[in-house]
Amino acid sequence: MADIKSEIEDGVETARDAVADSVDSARKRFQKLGDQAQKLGDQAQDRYKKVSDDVRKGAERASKEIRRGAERARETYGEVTENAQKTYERVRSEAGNLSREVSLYVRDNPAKAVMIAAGVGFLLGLVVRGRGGRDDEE
Amino acid sequence: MELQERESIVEELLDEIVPEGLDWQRLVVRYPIPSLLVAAVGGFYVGRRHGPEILKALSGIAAAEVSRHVSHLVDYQGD
Repeated sequence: MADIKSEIEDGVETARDAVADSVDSARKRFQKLGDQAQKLGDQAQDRYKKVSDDVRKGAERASKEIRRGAERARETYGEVTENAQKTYERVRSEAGNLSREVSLYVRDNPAKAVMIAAGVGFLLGLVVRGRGGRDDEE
Repeated sequence: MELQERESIVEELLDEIVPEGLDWQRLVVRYPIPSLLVAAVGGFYVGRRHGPEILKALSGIAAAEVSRHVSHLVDYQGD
């Protein structure tokens, strides 16, 4: 009877040890899995951080380039506008001078000026007629 | 002197072409650029329409004038 009791107690002890081992092993596995998950999470976070840093840097660089390009375009536009305005002013002033001189000449010599203008027109008309006639012949 | 004479011929010609009662000189002095444009357009129109005929007539007049001068010179030397 005592043997049976001791055997049962041994069995119980063995089963308790086995359960404890299993629990311990399971805990270790879970621990390992948790560690791996933590590691993967950390890696994913690192990668995300890196990618986000790259994207931010790229965006900053692109924004800087765009700003620089816009500034350059503004400068070029300003220069072109200034040049065009200067040229326009110069041409207007020269045209004004020429017109004044022509007017003075015409006031001094009205008959001559009118005849010269009519003669130039006459010659142009002849040339145009000649060209038209030649075109018609072709 | 010769230049003044030529100008007066031009003025006479213009007086004949332009309708009577129209003071063209005053108009030209008052509106110089438009007057030149009108003259050029008129000349262009005449040149395009009757250019060759006018040139032919002018060359005929010039030829007649030259032959008149030559015959006058020949007559003068013959005398």
